[in-house]
Amino acid sequence: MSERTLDLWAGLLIVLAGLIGLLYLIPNYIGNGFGFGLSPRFFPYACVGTITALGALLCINRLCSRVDARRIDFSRRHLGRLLLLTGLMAGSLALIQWLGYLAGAALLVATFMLAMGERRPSRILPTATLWPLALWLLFKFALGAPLD
Amino acid sequence: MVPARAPTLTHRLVLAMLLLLGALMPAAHATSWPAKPLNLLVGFSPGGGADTLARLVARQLSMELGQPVTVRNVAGGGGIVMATTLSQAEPDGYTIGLGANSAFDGMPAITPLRYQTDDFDYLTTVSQLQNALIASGNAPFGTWDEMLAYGREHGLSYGSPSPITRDVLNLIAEREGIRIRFIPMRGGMDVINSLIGGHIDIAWSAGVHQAFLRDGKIRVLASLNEERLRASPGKPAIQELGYPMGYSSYFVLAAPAGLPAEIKQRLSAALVKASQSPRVAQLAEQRMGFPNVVMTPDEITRFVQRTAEGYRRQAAPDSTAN
Amino acid sequence: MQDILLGLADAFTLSNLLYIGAGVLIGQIFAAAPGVGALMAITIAVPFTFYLSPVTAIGFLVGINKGGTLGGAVSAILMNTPGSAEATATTFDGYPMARNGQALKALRTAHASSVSGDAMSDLVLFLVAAPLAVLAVKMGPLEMASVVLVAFVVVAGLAGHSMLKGLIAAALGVLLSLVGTDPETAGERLSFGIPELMGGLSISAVGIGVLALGEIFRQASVHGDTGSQAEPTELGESSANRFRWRDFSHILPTILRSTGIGTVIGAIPGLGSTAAAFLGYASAKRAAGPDSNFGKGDIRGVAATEAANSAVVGSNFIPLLSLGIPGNVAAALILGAFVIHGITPGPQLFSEQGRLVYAIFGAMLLGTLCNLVFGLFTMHLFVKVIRLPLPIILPCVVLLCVTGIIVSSNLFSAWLLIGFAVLGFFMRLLDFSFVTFIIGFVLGPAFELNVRQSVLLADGQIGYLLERPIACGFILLALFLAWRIGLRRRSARH
Repeated sequence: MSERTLDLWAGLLIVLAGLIGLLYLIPNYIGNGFGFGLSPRFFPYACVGTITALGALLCINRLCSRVDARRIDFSRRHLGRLLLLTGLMAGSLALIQWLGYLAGAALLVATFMLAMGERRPSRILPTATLWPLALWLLFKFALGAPLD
Repeated sequence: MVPARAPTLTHRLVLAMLLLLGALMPAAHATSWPAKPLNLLVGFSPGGGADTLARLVARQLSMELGQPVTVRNVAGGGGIVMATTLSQAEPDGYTIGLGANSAFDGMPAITPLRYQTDDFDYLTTVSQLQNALIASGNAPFGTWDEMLAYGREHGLSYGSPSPITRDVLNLIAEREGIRIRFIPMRGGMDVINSLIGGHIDIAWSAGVHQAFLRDGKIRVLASLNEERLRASPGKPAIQELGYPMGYSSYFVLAAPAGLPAEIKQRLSAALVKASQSPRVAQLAEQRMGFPNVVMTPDEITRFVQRTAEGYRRQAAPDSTAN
Repeated sequence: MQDILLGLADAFTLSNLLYIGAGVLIGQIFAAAPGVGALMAITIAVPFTFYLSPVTAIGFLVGINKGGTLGGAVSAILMNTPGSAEATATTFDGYPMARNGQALKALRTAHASSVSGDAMSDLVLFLVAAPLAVLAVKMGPLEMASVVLVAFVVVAGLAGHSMLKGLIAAALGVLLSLVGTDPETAGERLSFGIPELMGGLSISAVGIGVLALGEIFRQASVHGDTGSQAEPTELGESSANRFRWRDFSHILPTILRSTGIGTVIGAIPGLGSTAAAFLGYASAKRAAGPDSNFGKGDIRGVAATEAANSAVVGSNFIPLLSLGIPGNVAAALILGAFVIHGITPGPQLFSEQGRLVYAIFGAMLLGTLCNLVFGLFTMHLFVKVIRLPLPIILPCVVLLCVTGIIVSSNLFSAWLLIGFAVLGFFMRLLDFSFVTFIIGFVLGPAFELNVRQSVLLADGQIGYLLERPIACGFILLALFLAWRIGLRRRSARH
């Protein structure tokens, strides 16, 4: 995909998110101040306002320029892999949340290894069990900061 | 990867694994409390005096109870974040919190929060804070009256890491006809630095100023506690000056409301012992300059309720809608 | 004079050496592991030092700190994933060097620069601590705000091809740093009632997520499932991979400049090593001129960053010892250790406990020495570890990051990590500078608080600003630098 197209989409998303922030998030989730000086809403408004304005500028700039500066290597396949990795991480965290550290950690290591192309159980099983175990023991006993 | 025609052996293995996992997750029974490590939530960032005090208490407590006590720093809002987290924890005796009592009794009256004073069981205190109105040693005023005179002419800038003392300062401003600007600060040492550098006129300190009294870098103008301060007995207390409030405060140890009575009794007894231990007392008294006042659960509960009532009464007549 | 000798003698004992050495080693290892960091090591270690003598305890913790500033460079160079935000700029030239077969050389450069910067700023501490402390006190809210403004402008010069996108990233960084509890009213700001958010977004979650995991996700998804070392790093000792005296003299001016920057920034509480690192890198890049190799594997890029972020360690002690104000989080933790041992940092410390102060200085010298000696071996060791193929290393590093976040923050932050990793992924892909983002996040709170304080103190009078020449000077400097950057970009385009 060309950088120009991606920038355009990014700009649009940014403007949209910025408007949601300005019109909904900040008024509802940040309180007013005591009335002196700059209110707690000032800087958030300034930041979101800047983001929105610059996002719009980005859109306009990219619409107006005809030159396709660079191509960025990003295809549907890459998006798919990103979603896969994100999903794997989320699943592992869910396991950590509900079954404890060791279960989720082992799943994380094992699934990421599979996702990266490692297929041999002789590599996956030891790594996925020993590394989480080592970390768990380290933090629980040596460091006194137990993981769950 | 379970094969399609799953034999009972695999089923048994899975069951055994689940049981094993289940056994790794300790269960808490009231009669066997404490059966697993406790969590102490500390409402201060790591590295400060209060955090150090909390860690010492945790260490003593773990020796008393025979279970490790893990300290977790949950700083922010002068203890509000810790109190919010604590209010949502299970009242099973495994999570306690340490913070200044103002987070529990005063802040709910001042700002909309997700908890109320009654959402906690109060267990004991560790040391009394030494709240003072302070000024730089180089300031053009050295006593309360001199400060008022200066303030009437020039106005005053007042620095504080928490909005809890706005009420008394507003009252002073009204009564004495002074314009006071409230400057938010990031913490006790930020206050001291700003004073010494001459960037603000006066400020509130909960006790960190005491190390600077000896060589005159900081001067105490008045005590904001209900009585005079131990390190500055010559300075008047705010009530002597005619103001109907005092900010006596303590580091409070609390738990979410609803503790089973037996656990509450054993926990508070252990905490009282930990707070009174020589190491904790030494740190509090000698190194931080805080009198090591340790109350019983009833005493501190009464204190918190009385203080909260006072804040509510103050907030009611002139409640400004935000 | 007698105090100095006695103090140094107190420090140079065998048991101290053992503890300090252990601290340095721990710091290097913890900092080299992305997601963990030397800060965690210090936090965990502070309670352990209860029963040690003050000098030993402080020496141990400072040792961890020193080892930490070096360790952060390891994962930055070898895997393009900075172990902590302050090592981010090390990736700019360190990782290309590793890809070019100069991994060990880059590591040794980092080692030499780190130790040099550290040692020189220690010297500054010993010699000029007290007078420099006066400088720190004079910095009021307006001065601080204007210094941060200068830092923002300088770092903006490091934004990628598009300044527009870089500014968006910076604003986003500042916005995220505001999440939490308002410093003035204690009211909630975008925390949606979630207690874990009320304390603000932790720098570890944001930093590790955007910088480290974002990069790992990029490597894992773009290079994918071929199962091989997709981005090979040459590990042998080829002749191009050696670090020679010639190289050291080549980078010496860079080291000196960066040490100066780091020392000054370290002496001003509130800025920290991340800002120092970026500023050191930016100024070295400027000094190297438009035809330099910066960003493609110039050895000076690594040297500039590492010298600056290490120089902060020594000079951080200036405000800490003289005013009791920590310059960054590591110093804050060490302040806690001071309190435990009954040392009250402050103006009276030098006069009342001179011997102890010089003992601490002695311990710091030992720490630098250990860092120097151990680094000679550990750098080689780290390179060996990275020999493992990518499909094994990356998952283990991901787990390490997640574990580190769970320990230093909480499980909720680990969930946030996923979001930040995705954000980091897209930022790298679309050239939304994560450099300006991180600086915005790191300096945002300081900037906002100081601006709000200044507005309240100024009370609507322009005289407040005009009465403060230092602040005016910095603001003008910021404007000037911004103009210069604008000019340079325009000329680069035409």
